[in-house]
Amino acid sequence: MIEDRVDDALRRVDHIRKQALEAIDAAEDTRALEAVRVHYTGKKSELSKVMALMGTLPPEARPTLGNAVNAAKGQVEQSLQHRSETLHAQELERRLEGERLDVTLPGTVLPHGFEHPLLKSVRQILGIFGQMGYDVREGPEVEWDRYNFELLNIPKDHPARDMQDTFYITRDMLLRTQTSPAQIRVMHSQSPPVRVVVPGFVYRNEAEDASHGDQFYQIEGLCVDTEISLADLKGTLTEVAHRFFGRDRRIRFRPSYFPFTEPSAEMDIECVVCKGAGCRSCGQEGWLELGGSGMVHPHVLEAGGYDPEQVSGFAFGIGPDRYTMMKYGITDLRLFRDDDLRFLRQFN
Amino acid sequence: MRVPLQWLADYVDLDLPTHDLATRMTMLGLKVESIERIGAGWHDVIIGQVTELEPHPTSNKPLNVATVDLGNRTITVVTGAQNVQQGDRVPVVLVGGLLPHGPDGEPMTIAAKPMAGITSEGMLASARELGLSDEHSGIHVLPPDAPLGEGLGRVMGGDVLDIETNPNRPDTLSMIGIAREVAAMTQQQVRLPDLDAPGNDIEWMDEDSIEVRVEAPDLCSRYTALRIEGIEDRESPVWLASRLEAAGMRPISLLVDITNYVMLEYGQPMHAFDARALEGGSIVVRRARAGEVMRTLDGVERALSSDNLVIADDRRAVGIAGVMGGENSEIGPDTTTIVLESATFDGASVRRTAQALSLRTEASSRFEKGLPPEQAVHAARRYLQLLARVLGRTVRVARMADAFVAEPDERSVRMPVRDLQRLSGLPLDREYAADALSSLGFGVEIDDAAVIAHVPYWRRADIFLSADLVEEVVRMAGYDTVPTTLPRTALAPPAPVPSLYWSGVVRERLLANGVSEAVTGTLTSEEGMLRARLDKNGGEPPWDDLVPHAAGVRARDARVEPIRLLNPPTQERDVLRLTLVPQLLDVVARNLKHTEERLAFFEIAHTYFPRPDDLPYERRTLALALSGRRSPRTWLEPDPGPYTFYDVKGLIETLLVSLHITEYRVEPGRWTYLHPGRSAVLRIDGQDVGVFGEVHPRVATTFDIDGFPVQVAELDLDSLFAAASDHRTFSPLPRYPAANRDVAVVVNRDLAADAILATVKNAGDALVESATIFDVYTGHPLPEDKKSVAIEMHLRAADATLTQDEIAGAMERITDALTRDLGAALRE
Repeated sequence: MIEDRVDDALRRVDHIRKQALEAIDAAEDTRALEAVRVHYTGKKSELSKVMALMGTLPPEARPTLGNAVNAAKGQVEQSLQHRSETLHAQELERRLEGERLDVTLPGTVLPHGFEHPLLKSVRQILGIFGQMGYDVREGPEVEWDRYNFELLNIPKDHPARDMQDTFYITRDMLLRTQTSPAQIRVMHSQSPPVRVVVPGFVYRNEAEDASHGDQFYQIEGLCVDTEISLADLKGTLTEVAHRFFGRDRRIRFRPSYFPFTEPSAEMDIECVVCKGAGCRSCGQEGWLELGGSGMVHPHVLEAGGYDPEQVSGFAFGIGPDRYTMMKYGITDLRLFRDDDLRFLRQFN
Repeated sequence: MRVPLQWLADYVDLDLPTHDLATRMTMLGLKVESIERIGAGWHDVIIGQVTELEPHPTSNKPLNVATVDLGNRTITVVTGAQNVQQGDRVPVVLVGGLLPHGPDGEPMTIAAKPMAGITSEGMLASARELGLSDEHSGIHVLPPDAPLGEGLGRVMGGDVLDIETNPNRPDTLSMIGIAREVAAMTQQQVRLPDLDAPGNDIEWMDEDSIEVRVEAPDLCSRYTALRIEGIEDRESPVWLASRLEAAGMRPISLLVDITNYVMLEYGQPMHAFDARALEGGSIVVRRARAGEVMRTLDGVERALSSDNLVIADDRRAVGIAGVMGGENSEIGPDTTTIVLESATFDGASVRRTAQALSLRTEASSRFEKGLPPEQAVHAARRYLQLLARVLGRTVRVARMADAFVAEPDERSVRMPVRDLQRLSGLPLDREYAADALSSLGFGVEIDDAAVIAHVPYWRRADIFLSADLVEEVVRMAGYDTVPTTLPRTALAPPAPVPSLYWSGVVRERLLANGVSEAVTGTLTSEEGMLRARLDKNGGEPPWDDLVPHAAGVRARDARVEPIRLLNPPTQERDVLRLTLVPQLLDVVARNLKHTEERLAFFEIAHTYFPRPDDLPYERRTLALALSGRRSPRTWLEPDPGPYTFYDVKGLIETLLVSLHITEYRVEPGRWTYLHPGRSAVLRIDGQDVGVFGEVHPRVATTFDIDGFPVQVAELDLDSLFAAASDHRTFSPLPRYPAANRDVAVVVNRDLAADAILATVKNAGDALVESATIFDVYTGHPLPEDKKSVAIEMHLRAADATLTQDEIAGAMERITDALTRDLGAALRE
């Protein structure tokens, strides 16, 4: 009976389908699943054998069986696909679980050098002046006596020379005691208006201790134009100090003496420890000196080739060593020359 | 200048609390450095007199038992001091009293305690215990007129301001000068001593004091001399002695103390000669003679020259003008007649002499600032007045000798109001300025647009120009009244400075690669630099390999010598450095002492090369020093290796990339203190611009560096920056694929890698886009003198994809060239 044979084949297909779906569900890993796939959908699978019966059936019965086989195959393949995704996801999860790290172990150490705090301050201060429109110039550290002193209104045997004990190389050549000679060099090289800062090392023959060294940094400033006043000097240096130290620090200016400025001013900053009341770190004064400044002396303007009747200007000398000590609370200047890594790494 | 306020109050009323007074003086330009409160820590310190003094009867220590009269009662005091004598007046601290400075430096309360059986009812105090000075060798014995029973604080106490004076203001080195400032500040008149006050027992004799001849009129503008007779020297009274002490001077004896007192009061140094010592009846002010020698009051024999001005009698020098008197004319206990000098010497000359003799004195530090001749006479008259008053009897004085060689010109300075306003930024007017100057002692006139100020004699040293007067007016107004503004100057925005820009590029690159910034010092010693030399006694100096060529530093083949200081701070720091490396090695050595982690330092600084008849060439130089492990020990890398030659070379290569310098050569170098096989020189355009390599182990030991090799470099940044460029040009990305091929060859071990790569590139024509060595191997199974080198090549044509035939052809040409030109054997 043809009908019986067809029914028989259809039952077989259904049986294989059920078996396959059970086997797929039972596969524990992708490898087992692959075996299931080969067994039920491969060329030598049961379903393929059922398909081989097709030729023995009359043509009108063939589509019935063909549809059944294809439907079963489709269902098995879909199940295989689904099971495969699940198993892959599980396996990835297991693998990642095994790759868990101790996130508290330190990361790879990348190379990293430390900026020297003194030069860091120098760059910060120069940056502030750059923002305020100042050009940067350089001058020689080994200078003529004439530029370091005489053109700055300090003739030989002037008592003001005692303010700066000098290292001499010859009678006329010395290690500059200040960056101020650069004022003359700048004025010789350009006509007003002028707005420059000149950074560099200066040298004084002084005994070294916690707050004095015989080599230290200085940033000279010079601003000359037709209407420059002491008020401009105060405004400029106050702005720089506020940007460097913070706006909450009070600044004061008081009369002082430098042979190359008139009027002259000393700038003080309120002691950060006692807020001006007087304490040990400021020697009971409440204020700490930040540096000298003043209106460029008419003789110096003349020495630079400028006409003091036409122009006026201010000049100043900023001491980054002191600025750095005050900014970070460093108590011994000599640390700046030791290049101790334990010191250097604190400022980066 | 130490200013006891109790003394200053003689000339001006001081109604302000001391701290406020000090702040106002500081803001006026008289910077108060510190305030000392003498006697603030004294409690129950009384002036007593030792009436009896006996050794302690039982103690075997050197103790004395003193009976001390306190005026209204007598107490017994046990003291260990040996300088006390019967009759001395001394400071006595009563039981329960307080001293500022006990043995531990802290305040101390006195308790009644038995000392070897005798109870001491008080204590005799030293100057240190009283906080007066560091002197603690004995009891601070007081002058005999110290008032018995009086509290010591009432006699010697009071606040003292220590004022930092400016060299342009010799007048502020005097009480009267300070008083003038305070008077102007507080709108008072200063009270000067009345030199014409009646009641002085002075008998003027109808004869000349002494003949004065000024033979060097350029160095002495005025010389006055007074012969004073019928006097005696003795201890100064307590008021005088305690004022001198409070002002920081030690009392010596009356005749000397009054000169010091008047110097502090008027700012005029004086000197008293014993008249007996002056031979020939005249005083000569002259330059010292060549070879002339004189012993000064401090007992030192001084060799003089014609640069020194001396005071002499007819025969010999008796004093160095303005500096110190001579021992030969010193006054002593038996002096009855003195010649008092009050003179005006040239400031520059006194300064030179004091410097040449290394003899800075209170006198010279005043003279060198330039003193007005007017005050010489005031001071002499004041001396006479005080002397007569203290001696309490008539002194006989001969007519003053007054050689007034050069009378100073009166000086008037015109200050246009425009100057005042444009320099200060304050809207001050003529009237304000005139008042301010007038209160400072200037005579003042006003015209349409200016104030004309007549300079008082005591301000002649610092008031010359309009700007000087501006400062006077503005400081009277107060610097804190000046507004804060910013200049409105119209200027082009600042231009970058190439050397600073490139320094920044180099620094950033080094910091990013783990190298820290060091700052050592300019000053070093030649020996210090020569430590970086293989042999103690030989070898070229370490700076000789990198001497600048272009800057005219030296004639060819002449050795460079470091620039020497005439007055070095120490012998270890007497020259300007020619190389940075030795000091950087010291930095490495210092840091190695407390860590052995990664040590990598750079310094950018000048090295200084002498040039004949010119300022030296200051070359911007970069030094590198690397030592220790090349990375820190971590759990990831438990045992990192040391820095090697190729690390320092790599740093230099990355710097060259950042400077965009592509045309350079690295060749074996012979820097004298480097490992002979690990030393290289960097050349640009045939010029040496850098040397680097591994420090010779023997030299490393000299620098106290053991355990790790040290890699160093020194580069001429001026030359590198001259070759640097920010210019870049875009190249189109390749459109056709590259073929990558590796080849390994065995070559002689001493063949330079450069030669292999050059051969590859030449042989491959333009097809070799890049060739890199990725492996170098020596050892088994290669023979001792061979090495294997593996090269990776990227072959590419710009206009087409290379065919297999083209690639094979290129590879054949390359391998042929390697075998033919370099004797290489191909490795399969």
